[in-house]
Amino acid sequence: MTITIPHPQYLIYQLSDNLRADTPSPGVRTPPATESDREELLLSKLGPRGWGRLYHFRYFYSAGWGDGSGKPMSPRALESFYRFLESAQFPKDSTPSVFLTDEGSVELCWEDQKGKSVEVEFRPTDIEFYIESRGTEGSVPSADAKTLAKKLAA
Amino acid sequence: MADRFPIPIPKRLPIKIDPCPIVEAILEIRFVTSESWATLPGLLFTRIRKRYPEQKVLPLGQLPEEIRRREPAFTYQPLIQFLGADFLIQFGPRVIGLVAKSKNYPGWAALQKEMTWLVSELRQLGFVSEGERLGVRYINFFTFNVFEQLVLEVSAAGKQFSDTELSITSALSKPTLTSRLLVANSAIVGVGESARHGSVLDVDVWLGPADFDLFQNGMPKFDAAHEFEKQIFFGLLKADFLATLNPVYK
Repeated sequence: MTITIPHPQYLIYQLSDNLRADTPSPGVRTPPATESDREELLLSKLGPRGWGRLYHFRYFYSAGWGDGSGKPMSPRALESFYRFLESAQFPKDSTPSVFLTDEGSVELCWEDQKGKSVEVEFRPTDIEFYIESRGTEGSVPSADAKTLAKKLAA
Repeated sequence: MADRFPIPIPKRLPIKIDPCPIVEAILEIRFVTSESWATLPGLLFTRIRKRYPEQKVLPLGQLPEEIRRREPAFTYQPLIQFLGADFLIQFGPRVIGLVAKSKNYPGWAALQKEMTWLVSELRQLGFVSEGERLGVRYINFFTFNVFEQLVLEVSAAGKQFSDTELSITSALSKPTLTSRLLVANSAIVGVGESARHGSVLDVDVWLGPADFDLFQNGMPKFDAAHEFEKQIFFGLLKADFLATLNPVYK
């Protein structure tokens, strides 16, 4: 059985009965304003599993998750993750996996065309990356997320 | 932006209108913290108790934390209110908001001054590890069908929606700022005996995490969001309607 908890209304107004959709549809979820493009981006680049994991990390992992010291997801890290994703190209047979680190960073890992791993960690102000096939690692400022995505796709 | 933005932006914006339709004004910060919620209300109260001596736990605050955490719609909901003479502060595990009490909008300068104080208290408390969203929201109420007084039209095949109950919501943006505009001509404002039926014009403007740093540039960003809110509000009003509100300009 599914129980839906009514959403609290702390606003000073409510719409009249005729304008309110009182019966929530379990199959329909309206993304927060302006986030629909991002949700489509997530689905197209990471698939439903990636979308679901990120959604879970964002809304259900609060301070103290894991062994008690896990930090919640950094909003700035998430922002640079999205910017990276806009320009990222992944090999056809590789499905990237998304993780939340103890520090609240977002980590994205996938295998390149040679089957070697690529790891990118989005932190609040910078992005760290590791490319196994080239044996290189480094970091760039968050503002360079798109440039890094293009570099890794090349 | 001016060409693509669907609302005409007035060349100058009033600093006051009378009668004032504002029934609620909220300045809000969403944030992440490493502190547990159990300690936060007490921490905040120690700093604000002189101005906000009264506390009120909201209904959601009485739900067990385990249940609250399982429902994403509750993530940014306040759980407790601190009541002061002119304003109230709404506080939750990921949100804090300064609210100008209804029927008594004190003007932007007063709201800005109180928010500057609140941000400085937050800075000293140190629990905000990162800002997620900085927002300004104004809810306006009119006793009549406000669509008739707006340059906004809703139509189907050239035929206008009129004399129907109507609610529209739109997301508008300009660089770094996003707004959700809601206009409805059938809403109930207030509770109990003070409830009134009419129209609402609700404008919520915000910036995302990459576009502000609460303790570096929070207040100028609130200013920018407020300015955008005013552009949308006054841009929607028909000129002859605005004239009936006795606008005062700088």
